[in-house]
Amino acid sequence: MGTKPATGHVWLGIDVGSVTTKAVAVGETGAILAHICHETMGQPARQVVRGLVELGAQLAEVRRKPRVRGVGTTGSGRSLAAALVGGDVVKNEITAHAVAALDLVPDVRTVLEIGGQDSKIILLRDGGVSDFAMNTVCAAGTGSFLDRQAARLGLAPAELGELALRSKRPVRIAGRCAVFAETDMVHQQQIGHAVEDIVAGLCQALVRNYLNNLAKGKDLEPPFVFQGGVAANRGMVAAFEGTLGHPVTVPEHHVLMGAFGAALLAKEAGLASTRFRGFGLGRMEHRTASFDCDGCPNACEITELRVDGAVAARWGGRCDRWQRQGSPAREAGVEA
Amino acid sequence: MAMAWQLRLKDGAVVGLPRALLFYELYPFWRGLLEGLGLRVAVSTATSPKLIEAGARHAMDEACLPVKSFYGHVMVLRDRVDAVFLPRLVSLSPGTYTCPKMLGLPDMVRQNLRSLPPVIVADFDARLWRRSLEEGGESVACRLGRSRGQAREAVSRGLEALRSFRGSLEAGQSFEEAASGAAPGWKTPLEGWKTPLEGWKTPLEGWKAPLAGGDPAPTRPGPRRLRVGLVGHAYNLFDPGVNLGLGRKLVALGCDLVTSEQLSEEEVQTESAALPKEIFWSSGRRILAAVTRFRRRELVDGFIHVVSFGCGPDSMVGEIAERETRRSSNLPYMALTIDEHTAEGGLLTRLEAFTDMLARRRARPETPEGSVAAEVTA
Repeated sequence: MGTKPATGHVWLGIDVGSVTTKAVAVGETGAILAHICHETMGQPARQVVRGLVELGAQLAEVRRKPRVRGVGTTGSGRSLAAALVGGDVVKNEITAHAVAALDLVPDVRTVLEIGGQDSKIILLRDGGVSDFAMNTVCAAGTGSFLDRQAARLGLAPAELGELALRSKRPVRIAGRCAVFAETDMVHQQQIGHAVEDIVAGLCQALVRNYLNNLAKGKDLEPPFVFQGGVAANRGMVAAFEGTLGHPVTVPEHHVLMGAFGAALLAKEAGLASTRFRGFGLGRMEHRTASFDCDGCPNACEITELRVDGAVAARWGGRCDRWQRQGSPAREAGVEA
Repeated sequence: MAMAWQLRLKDGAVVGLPRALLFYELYPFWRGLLEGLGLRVAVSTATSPKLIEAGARHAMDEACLPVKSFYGHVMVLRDRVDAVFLPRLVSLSPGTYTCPKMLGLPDMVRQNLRSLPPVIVADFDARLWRRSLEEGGESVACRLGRSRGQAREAVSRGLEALRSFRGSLEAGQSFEEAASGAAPGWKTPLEGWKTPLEGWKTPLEGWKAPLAGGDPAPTRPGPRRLRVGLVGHAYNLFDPGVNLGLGRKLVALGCDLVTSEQLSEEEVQTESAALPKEIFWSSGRRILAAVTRFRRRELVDGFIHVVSFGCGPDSMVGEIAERETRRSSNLPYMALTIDEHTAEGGLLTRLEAFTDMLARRRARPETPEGSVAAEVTA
């Protein structure tokens, strides 16, 4: 190892998704210094702590005394992550992904994002979000579905995309719904179509489904950036490029974009101090539990997080009966 | 057609009003009418997940969430009141209709729910009677065996409360404020009733953006809170049990709200006259009129349209409203579709992203593309 910069300010970003948990550390220039990505496996708190410890170890290799100035969290587990590690900025995924894409491709006008269980489209004009959509009830075409199809064909998820690229004549598959798509794929296999043609057809169907569901009535303009876990699938990239008629940029760290955006948001907030609990978090004992509130007929399920025995946060209620007794983190809100 | 029913209810008997659907538009009229006929009024408890679950088990499959909620409210009332009030709203003003589910509501409820107490089916049909509320109210009085004189007095009492309620709504009061202040003495809790109307939470801050008799200042210059145009059926905007506390969430995110219920009937008519297409659903007309007016007068930073999953009129009206907004402005427009499966987390993510978008747009320097042609006319 060469000489490490003596000290350095860093900002952390954590993205707790349904399928994977990601974390990055960025330095003063906004460059990614360290990053991790683990499967959430239904244990977000555990993965956040594990990831953070690893992130600290990685940072120690490049910075002698890294000083964490702020922590941003995003993803469906953003409140949990913020409560656990001491987050300063809690942001929705749309804003985080948009900020990250703008940093890498400043003139980006359309962000395509497909993660483990949801997909989004973000339109940007004049350096900011002008419109967005998220999938509502349907998860066809998201990472979980693709993983499942790969497993059914006996392939690793990464192989799926490579295989699709070899197809000469993609089969037309009904992509409206994951269940029907699967039925249709089985049918195409049974009448003898080649696996690569089926897989390529699946990618095209999912792109069609994505554009019909999310981009309905919106003007999609280049440059396009494709991020999220599914962007690793080269078959999907090719299908997007074919359908849109434009090149689609996949950032090197496409999986980390949410976490990267959260870190940039923490940096942008210009915080005087941070709530970060430190990389020693791995030595603390943390536990989540839930109970039904009996305060009214809403019977909200309240989730409680304790760190070293003390209540760090409670959430899940419709009123503020429980939230008051330990709020996750200040929502870096809309005070423009 | 009106069912031929007759019902003897003694003075002081308790009539239950389901807190759902057009309750959010006509509650003051119904309460004024029924009290004027010597009856007492009880309103069902606030919409909760349990209540919706119970309603959804009994409603027919393709019902929207507000209709399922209506069933739940009837179930709350059925063992606790002497009679349940089931309105049938065919048409509220000539040339418009309500939706098919509203037309068939009393029949569906009586078909699907067992052990109901006696019901008061009240028909309101502006196609038959130009003064649909008056004549519908008088017909109820007559079937309840009240005199013509008492009927007229009760009707005018109801109309008086309704006028006051509408005036308060148009001046920017919350539904709770407008409803509880619609007539003198309505603050008194109903005896023996567990969750009286007066038990409603204090009004939401940030609802004060009067439109009638002086629109609020246009959104452009100066620092101020974000202002969101919240449009949709009154029962979707005003029932926090149905919309998962949407209003409260938006206020917490730093927004002021202007709703489509703040337009007066005259304003709805004026705006509707200029629409490219005639809209036959009364609620749809109001939604489109509000979107047009708020956009033209630059009163809001963006729109949120609360849509019931499975609602035919909403899908049509929403499409027109969104298209018109995009064609003539660059204001963001977001449709939020709600049913009993709507996840609170997903809703919050969308609201946060939407308000972030509005705030960040405003923080950026103005571009020529971003300036909407100001067409401020009366």
